[in-house]
Amino acid sequence: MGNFLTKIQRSTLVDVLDRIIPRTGETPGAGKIAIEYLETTAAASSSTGRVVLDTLMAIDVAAGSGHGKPFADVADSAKVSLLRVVEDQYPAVFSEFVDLVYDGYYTDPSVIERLGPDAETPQPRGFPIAPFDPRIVEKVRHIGPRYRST
Amino acid sequence: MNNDQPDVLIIGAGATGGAVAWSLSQAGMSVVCLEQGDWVKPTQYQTNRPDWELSRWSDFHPDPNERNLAADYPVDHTESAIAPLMYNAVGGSTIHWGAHFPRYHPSDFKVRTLDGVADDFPYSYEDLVPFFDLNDRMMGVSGLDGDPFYPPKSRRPMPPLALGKHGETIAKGFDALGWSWWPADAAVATTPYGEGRQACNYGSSCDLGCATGARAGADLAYWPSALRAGVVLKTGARVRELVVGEDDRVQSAVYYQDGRLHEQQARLIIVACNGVGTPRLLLNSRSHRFPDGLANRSGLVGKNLMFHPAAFVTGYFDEHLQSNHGPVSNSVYSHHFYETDKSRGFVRGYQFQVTRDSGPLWAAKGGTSGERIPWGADHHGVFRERFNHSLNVAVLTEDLPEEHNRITIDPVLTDSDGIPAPKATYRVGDNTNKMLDHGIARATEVLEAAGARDVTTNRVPKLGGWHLMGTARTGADPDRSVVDPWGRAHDVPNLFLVDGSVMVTSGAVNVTSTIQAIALRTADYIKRTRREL
Repeated sequence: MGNFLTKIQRSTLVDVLDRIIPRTGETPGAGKIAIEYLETTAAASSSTGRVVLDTLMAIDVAAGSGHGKPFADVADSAKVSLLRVVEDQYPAVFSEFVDLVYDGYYTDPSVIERLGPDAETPQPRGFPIAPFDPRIVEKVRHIGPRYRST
Repeated sequence: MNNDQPDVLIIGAGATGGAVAWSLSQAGMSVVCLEQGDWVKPTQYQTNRPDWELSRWSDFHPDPNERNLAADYPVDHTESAIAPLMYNAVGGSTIHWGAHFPRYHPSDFKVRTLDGVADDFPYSYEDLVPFFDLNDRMMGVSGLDGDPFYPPKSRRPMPPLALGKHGETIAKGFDALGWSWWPADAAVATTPYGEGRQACNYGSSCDLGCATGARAGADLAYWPSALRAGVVLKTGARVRELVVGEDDRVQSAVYYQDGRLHEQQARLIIVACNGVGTPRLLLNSRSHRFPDGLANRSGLVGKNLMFHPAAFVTGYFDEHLQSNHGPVSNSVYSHHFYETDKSRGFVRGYQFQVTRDSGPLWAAKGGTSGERIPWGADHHGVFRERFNHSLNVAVLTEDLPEEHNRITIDPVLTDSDGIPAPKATYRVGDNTNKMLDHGIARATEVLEAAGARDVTTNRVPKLGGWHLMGTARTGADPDRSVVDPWGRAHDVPNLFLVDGSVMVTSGAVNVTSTIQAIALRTADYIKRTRREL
């Protein structure tokens, strides 16, 4: 057991995360990438912890009422639809949950590296850019004064 | 220097407090400044950490209610369409800004005369030109001479920022429609400048802090010189109230520091706490001489709150635009629809401010569009289509003053020292809504002309209260204004206000350049008349 979730909750959460940001080809899903972030953040912040637990409980309830079984045992083909039901029922908390998943995923160094140089932290290197070419304003420069005289 | 009774006490060490402290200190005046925040060192900015983007939603959140740092005070904005944004530190909100640095236009000072609405400023653009120029040199402004939207300006202190593929793309759109545009004036260094400021390395996301010092703040541009000249800056000092005597002269400021109550006297007091903090302090300073708040015999303190209601119109392009290469707020702008054309169905106008994007998390959460990239099977595909393929045109409208838009004192909410907190009550006006309709349609047009395949609109985002104005306005008539044309309170002869609260009208441009110029003009007046004050 980790610091915040039971073994079953953690397993369910990994499964859910992979539906939020799925693995495609070489691109990893959020189940592998964001689980540590979510668990750590949830343990550190009571408000974040509540978002995670409320979402997991809502998913469990929806799985029970819709399929008569826990989320883990629901057919893979039905899991996304089930999450859409939860999103419709609890839009505010689910939205916060998705934000948390994105937070964890898009600040993970391995994801940033995979996305390429434009996703890297902006400092201290900055980004390349072509120098300013003054010829670009020639058309505007010659339209004459446009300010309103007072 | 006699710290017990300095010539001047300044409350607030931000954009205008810093400028005024510097100016007065150069004339040998003794100055004490109280600032509720602390210094933010460049090493504290998180833009060189892998998880840097998280700071945008935590300790660098633009809304003090969300940030909730020790220096912050809460603002009740439950009855406001727009949340006031600010940062509390040495440098004030220039710690947390994009440094887009346009001036008001000449017409912005004369809207009553020209368009029959609101009121004129009691001074003109021309009166402010020497102070605009001085401030541009102090802040370190980059830009390009020859902008047709303004009377000729003095040579910009530094050459303009590069436009990059992003700026060049939207420029083609403007050119295709025959609409005028220009590279931004920016308080961002393009060459080494001032005291250790490096040239911009186009690292984007200036709003989260600039570790290189290329982006100016009052902390870098004004405070080092002010401190060398002897200004005493007390940080972590939160003012509760101003004390006034029977002669209606303000005598002292009562403040908390390190959990203890202190009192600082001065011959003259200058308030520079922004368009929310200044009316809050005045309204919290009630006495038998001023039962409705200090300097409030006009009843106008807190009223006429103005923002710049905005819409973000975002276009997505097939080509990679390097959308996050460069300062987020400083690409190009267009003032093509800035001036009144009554055939459009509204008075006054708006600017287009073309803005850049930030990192991957910003893109995933929707950026300025406010439309989060969907979760599920399409997520990666949509992310690839959007990240660094977007171009934002912000429609920044002129906000006319309306008395029902106001800052009051919240009956319940307090800060951590127990000082009553401000409450914002604000709704977007009819004229502004017509302006937004027009601006959104035109922004869509220019994005499509530039090649956008898809365009979305985020109209009046709640987190859009960057510019706080009008809540203690200037004027010659004591019944219709709080301060006189020099920023001196009509009712309190040794009290001056120098921040955005003094603005009569909002213009449609980012306001820091103009409020700093007005503050420097006030400082100049104080220096010239110091023996009479």
